[in-house]
Amino acid sequence: MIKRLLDKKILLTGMTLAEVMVAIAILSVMMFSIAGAISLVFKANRYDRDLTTSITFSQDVLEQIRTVVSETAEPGVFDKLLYIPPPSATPTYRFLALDIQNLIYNVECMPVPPGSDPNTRLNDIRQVKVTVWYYNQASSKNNPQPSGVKLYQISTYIRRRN
Amino acid sequence: MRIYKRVEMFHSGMTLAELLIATFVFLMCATVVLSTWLWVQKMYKVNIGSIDSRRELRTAFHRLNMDVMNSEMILTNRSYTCNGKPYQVPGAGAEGDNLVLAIPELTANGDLKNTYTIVGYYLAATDLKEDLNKDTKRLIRWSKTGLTPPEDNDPSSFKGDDISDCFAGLTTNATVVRYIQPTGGLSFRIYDPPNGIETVAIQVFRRLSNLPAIQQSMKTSYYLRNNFY
Repeated sequence: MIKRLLDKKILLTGMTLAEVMVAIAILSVMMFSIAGAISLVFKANRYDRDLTTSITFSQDVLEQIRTVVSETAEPGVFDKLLYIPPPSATPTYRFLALDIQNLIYNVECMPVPPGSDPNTRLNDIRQVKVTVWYYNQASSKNNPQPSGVKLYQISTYIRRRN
Repeated sequence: MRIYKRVEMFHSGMTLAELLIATFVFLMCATVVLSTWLWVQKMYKVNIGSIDSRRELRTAFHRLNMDVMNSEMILTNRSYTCNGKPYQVPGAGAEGDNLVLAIPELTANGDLKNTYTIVGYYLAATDLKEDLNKDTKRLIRWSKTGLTPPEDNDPSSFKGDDISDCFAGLTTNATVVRYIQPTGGLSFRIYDPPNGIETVAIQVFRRLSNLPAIQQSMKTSYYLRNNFY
């Protein structure tokens, strides 16, 4: 039997090109899967961190606006909230903080209901909306622009106090 | 005979050189596999630790937000004792690590009941049995329902002793944030007038054995929605 195998060169042959390629393919898929899974875990963690930062930051901005409107004795502060930014202007984006350079936000204030005319508008209520995006690296840092879909948005209604 | 010689060639086993090379290759592979496994384990531990800390902070912030939004008043400038330890709630415009809020209770029809739920937050030493983090602190939220103020519907009439009395009866206690940095890890600033708070800092610092420490830092503000002035 051995003679037969030797004569047929079965025992002396190595791996065929197809076998080598299949083996390399299997190993490559394994390696890329492991690397992909690790990268995914890091990405998910970064996303979770950015989301948490956005949530607390947006809440902070809303509450600061509410404080200014409710506590300041200066007349007209509430009326300035009618449109921020004005309907014709391009939204202004700013970085969340000096040490957070990957996230930008903007604040919008609008009448209730939105776009209503002065006759039907609820004059003592404004809707304030804070939205956070990832910073588009291609844009200038002096005029940062958003990248992709928004990361987080929160809105509230602010009532006139004085 | 010729067949036997050829067969022996395949049954002769490995030479010393082959054995050494095979051992070297095996050790290399084993090292790579083991290092990868250890690295993945460490990464998992750091990742889970930071996600866990953030989850805890988010939940705590959410509860704090709900408490502040529902309260009618922040009870400032009160001194009280809890488990024999003195605590001081800062005054308006001041910073501290203590907060006490009065939330009005309503009837099913939405009318005021003249009773309040008192909710408080204070810092305490950790109760974790971890040598690495034994100096950290934890933020505790406590509450007691059904308290009648000394003056009708006026939560400002709750004095420090009334707050201390909360701990004598049934009080709900829960640790909301663990691993708070021992110094400067938590600070609330109460607005002046006291209609809101700013969490100047909540800093989590959790040491892990042979791994970089987990650090989270957050700040935000909350404003009262329920004060009828």
